[in-house]
Amino acid sequence: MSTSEHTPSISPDDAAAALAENRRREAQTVAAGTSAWSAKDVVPVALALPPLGYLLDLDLVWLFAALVALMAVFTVRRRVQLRADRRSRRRDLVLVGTFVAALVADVAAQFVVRGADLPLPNTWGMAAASVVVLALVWPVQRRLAARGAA
Amino acid sequence: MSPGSPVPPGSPVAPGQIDPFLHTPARLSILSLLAPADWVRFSFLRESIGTSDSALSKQLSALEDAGYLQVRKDRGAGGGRGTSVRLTVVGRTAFDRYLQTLEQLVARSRGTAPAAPGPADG
Repeated sequence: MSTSEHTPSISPDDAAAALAENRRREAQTVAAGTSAWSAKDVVPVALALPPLGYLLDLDLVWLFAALVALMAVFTVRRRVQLRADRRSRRRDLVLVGTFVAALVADVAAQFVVRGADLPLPNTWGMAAASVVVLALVWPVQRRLAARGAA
Repeated sequence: MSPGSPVPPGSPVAPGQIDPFLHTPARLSILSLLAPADWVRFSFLRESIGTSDSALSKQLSALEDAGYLQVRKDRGAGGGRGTSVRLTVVGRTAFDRYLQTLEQLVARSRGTAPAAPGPADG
């Protein structure tokens, strides 16, 4: 590929090579923007949920809020933020739905624990949410990522 | 020698003539990596292209000066810092036109170029 300031034209082979390079690079970005969360990303989050629930049981709401905010930042940040389109918005919606399911599990477990008059309802609730994260949120995210890369 | 100056937005590029400012391996790689994205981190560009911080910064500065890129300094969680980059509307337009010119060149060489500007991709 020429780098001359006065290049008036290029050969078709050169153009084809540049287009191939463009496609390869674009695929790199799409792959980075839609890659599935790794176990390294998800397992610590799931393991951290019950201790966070315990913080709520200890009435340390401010610490809970700070840690959750920090976790959210580390979890959602990616080095590539793809342009939003209809497909990516649908993907985000499905993913948010799975997090809502985790929240529902938290509330349901708390309801049962409080009904049975057991201690540490928030810890149990977060433990239930943790199970949903591992059993539902993560697999769904991986499936969506696989579809996005296809 | 500096690899060209950007073609002003909206100015005509004759068929077969390539914007020399964009037609360098480094800038083609950078713009291709940025094209599908909204924002891209500097570290992703550096590792994907396999270049040094200073070489990449130089290219990004040139593209930013031309109005093709927007550069943003991030303040991450835990005190970490980073730089993110994205294509501006002007940059996206120029890059689209650059790619179109390449496609026309290839199509003409294969005898498949349309006689008139074709309909948009569906």
